[in-house]
Amino acid sequence: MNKAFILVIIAEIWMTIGQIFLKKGANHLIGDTQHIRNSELNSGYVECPQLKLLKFPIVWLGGVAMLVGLVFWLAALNSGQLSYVYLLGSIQYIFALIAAHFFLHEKIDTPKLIGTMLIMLGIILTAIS
Amino acid sequence: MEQNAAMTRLPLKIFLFIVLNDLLDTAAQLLMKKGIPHVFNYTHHDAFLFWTGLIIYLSNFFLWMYILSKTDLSIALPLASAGYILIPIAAIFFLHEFVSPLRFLGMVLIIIGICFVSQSKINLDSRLRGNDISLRKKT
Repeated sequence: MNKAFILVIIAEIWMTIGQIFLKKGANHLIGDTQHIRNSELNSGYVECPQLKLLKFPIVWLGGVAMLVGLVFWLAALNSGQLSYVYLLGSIQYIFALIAAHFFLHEKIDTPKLIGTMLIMLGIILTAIS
Repeated sequence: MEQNAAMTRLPLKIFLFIVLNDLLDTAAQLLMKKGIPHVFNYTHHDAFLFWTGLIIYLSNFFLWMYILSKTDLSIALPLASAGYILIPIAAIFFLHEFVSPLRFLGMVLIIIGICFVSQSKINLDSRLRGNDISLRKKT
């Protein structure tokens, strides 16, 4: 295991934490959609529901986690080849699948499973190249 | 139903935005890689390249969010994985990196994997509210 590999793993863990937080924040809006539509019809002006996300602290936490991940990503770029680091970065698909399953209770179906296994195989080939 | 049908089409404008997203991502990663060894030396030319790359990278995040709000992830994600081809090729030409056949094979497997992941049917109901966390492009 070289330094770039470890830095990519740390970066992608932070990025995944960030994505989970952002998604949890975005989930607050789902129940709101119909309510927003109605209020638009009544008031006559169109709201931007995305801006409401900024009200939720978890969205800000998600942004901070992604910035921490970016710092580790830059450290990884500094210590390895771009083609190596970028391909290894796809490990985020695997972390996200696992994290989404446990923290967001998202289901895993066959295409996701096959796809993630192919990505894992691709990462192993990249890592030993 | 009508809204779903509208979402599955890919308007030319959005297609071009996805192409732009790929190109900007490639440019950002190249510039950051090129500039990072000299990032704290403000007089060095490469430090400027790094900050340009970082600004492109951060703006690209918002462009990607806009794309996701306009089209289906099962269409956007495979097109966006073009970065996995563009970046190793750009690394060969601009950074003179050596990409071995093994790494090339790894790249092909990763792209096929992303195409599989994006075709998950579970994601259909989450179209209108954005993306499923396990299905977004790596940032």
